Amino acid sequence: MKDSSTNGFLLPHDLSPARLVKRLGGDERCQIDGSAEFSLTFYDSFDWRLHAAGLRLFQIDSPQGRFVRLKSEGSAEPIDSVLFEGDPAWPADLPDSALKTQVAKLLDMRVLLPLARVRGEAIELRLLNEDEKTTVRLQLLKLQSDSPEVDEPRALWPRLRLLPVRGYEDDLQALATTFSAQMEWPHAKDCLFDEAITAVGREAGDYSSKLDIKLKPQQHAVDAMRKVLLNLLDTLQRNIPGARADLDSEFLHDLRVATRRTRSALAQVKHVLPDALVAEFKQRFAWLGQVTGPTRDLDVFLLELPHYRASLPRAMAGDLDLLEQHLRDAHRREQAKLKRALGSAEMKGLVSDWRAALEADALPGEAGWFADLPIEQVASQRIWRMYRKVRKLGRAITDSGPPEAMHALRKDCKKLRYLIEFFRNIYPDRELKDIVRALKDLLDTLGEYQDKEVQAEKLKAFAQECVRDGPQGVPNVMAIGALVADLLRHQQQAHERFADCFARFDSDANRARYKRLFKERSGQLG
Amino acid sequence: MKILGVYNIKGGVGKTATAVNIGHLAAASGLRTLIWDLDPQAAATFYLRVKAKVKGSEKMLRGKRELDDVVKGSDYPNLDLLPSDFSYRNMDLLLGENKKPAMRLLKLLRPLSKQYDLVVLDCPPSISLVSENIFRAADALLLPTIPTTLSLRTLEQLLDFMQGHDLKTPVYAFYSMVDRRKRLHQDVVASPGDPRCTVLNTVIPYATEVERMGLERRAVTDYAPRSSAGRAYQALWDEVRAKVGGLRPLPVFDSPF
Repeated sequence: MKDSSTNGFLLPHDLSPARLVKRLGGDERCQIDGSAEFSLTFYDSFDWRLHAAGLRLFQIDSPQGRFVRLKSEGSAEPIDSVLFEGDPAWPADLPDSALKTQVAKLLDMRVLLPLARVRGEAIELRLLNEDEKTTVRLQLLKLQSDSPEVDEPRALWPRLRLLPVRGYEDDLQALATTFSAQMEWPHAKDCLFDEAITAVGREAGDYSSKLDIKLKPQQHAVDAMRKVLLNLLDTLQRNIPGARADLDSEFLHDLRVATRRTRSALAQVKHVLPDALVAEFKQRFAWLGQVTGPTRDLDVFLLELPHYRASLPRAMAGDLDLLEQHLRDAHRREQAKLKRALGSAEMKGLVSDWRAALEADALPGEAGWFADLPIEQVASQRIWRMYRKVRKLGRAITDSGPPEAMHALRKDCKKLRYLIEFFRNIYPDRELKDIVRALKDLLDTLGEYQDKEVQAEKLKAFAQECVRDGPQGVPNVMAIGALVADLLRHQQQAHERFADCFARFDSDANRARYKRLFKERSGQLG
Repeated sequence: MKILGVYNIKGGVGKTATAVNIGHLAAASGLRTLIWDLDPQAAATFYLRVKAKVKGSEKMLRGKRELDDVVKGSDYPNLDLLPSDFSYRNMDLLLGENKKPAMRLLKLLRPLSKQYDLVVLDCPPSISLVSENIFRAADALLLPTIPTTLSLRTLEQLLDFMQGHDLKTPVYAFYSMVDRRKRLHQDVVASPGDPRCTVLNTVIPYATEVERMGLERRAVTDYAPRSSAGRAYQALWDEVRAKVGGLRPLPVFDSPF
């Protein structure tokens, strides 16, 4: 019974257990044993990490208890099941098991959210042979979608499951054949996932932080930009509730990325959107970047904390408790401010004004010179120019140069990456792959360089506060000292890696790719 | 996996009723249970509504066929049966073909240890190579004993045999088919048993409910759980489980999904 789809059937809505018994040969051949009620709640992260890995996670409330089960899509046998009384949220809270390990690894910093709930009644039946011996067990499942998102419970297709009795597999096979051939009942998929998700108006994988904007190369630049910006606005808006409630740190992160991408699109794709519109929203989105910054910085620290502890000798790990307390207090304060800011009139106005502008028949204000040019030409020119700028900045960086040069380079690299991501659908995927890889390596190195420095600076500032506490602050200062040394060592290593990374980015082969993909598509703009 | 042998040299003492009822209770408690009907009379097989095999088990005993292929599911979840086979009447000969004939059953059962928590062996009467195999395979022997002189004599015979062969398998005897109206039964039940075995506290009464098993073809503990016999088997199972130890079922995740 590897693939359960052969043993599950969708039934007509009006088939009662009594009628099913009749169709199976009456009381002498089929008996109803009893029934049990259960409910099923499907879980995944907001960005569908489990679904993307082909997994289904759900909690079952049944007479046998409350347990969480992990399955592979399309497989009948669970990967693992664990008894768990609470509501699953953080994988770390689940009992130690293969399930926990696998889910925690995929989810990383994301929390589990309930996606859809199904209530059901399982009616147990048995098929008997001439000796009145059970040869097949059957389960008639009456199901309804029961999620807070939907007003009224909605009936799902009833299902019939055939469960084998050892040594009587032929009887099961014969029955399954009768069902599909004579009764023409369609086979049911193993688990209700798709049906349950659809019933609450969702679609698996309907959110991803990765950009995948469908554009046509010949489309007017202004239309393409509207599409890009609307896509970013959708992402931004979808993350507001989770960021306000602080469900996990990724909501705010994705919201900030959408904000940065929007600002970058406004600033980098010149002469397409009306100037006044660009100027106004650059400023308004800069505000959003600002008000979301402090909480994100603290999120990063809190996410790093376990690594900090691990990097210290065990005897010193406890000396970070004060730091953790400090970070958590600060996070609580900043989160409260963030929640207010994201719920403010200013925020609501920003979102609704921006949407109104982007969805209007014509953009308000005077169109840019490039508005009606094909997006392929405009995008290619912007990417080509930004590539040249990054190359120039990178070549000027020396081993002894100021850190600011590295930071400036990182900023422009990010702009280049965003541009490529906005328009990636215009370009052949295969060629873009190498370009993206070299750029990503470079960005990772620059990111590591800057992040470690920023963290070291902030830790130093905190150490100053500890010094003010007098002698009892000494262990904390020393632990932070060890952390700072470790961070700066990593920063130095990133700097040492930089030359190699940049050389790959600046290679002749990579340059040829940029030229072929972008310069040649820029037309007269190049 | 624990192996429980239900045995007596004498026939008609309630061995099969014990094996089936204990097997049913174990399965109902969540233990994955297998009853192996080793008796060519195939009474356990009949009670569980499975057709006895006419032949074919020679191959299995010779190791040419997996036990796995012969197992049949019962009417009860978690309870499977290895049905009896008429060729079991020659089992002594078949076992004798092996290099270590007295260890053959244990070797055959070993591959099932991942699939089952408990195996109940319903043994044929008499003392033979088959019995010796059972003594060596089992973690404990369960001995239904009618409180009569003759029956007690067979218990002694068994204990002598085990002592003679240096077999250390714990023996749990209990009185079965006890008729409280009979003075002899009362006296025997009250007297201290043979010190070489443990006499369990539970007494299974002589009851028509048990005899009805042949008509019902189900466990008493299924069709008459509240009857005196049904309750007695429950008490017996509780006692056996506590004595044998290690029989804690894992949570059963019996869910439609």
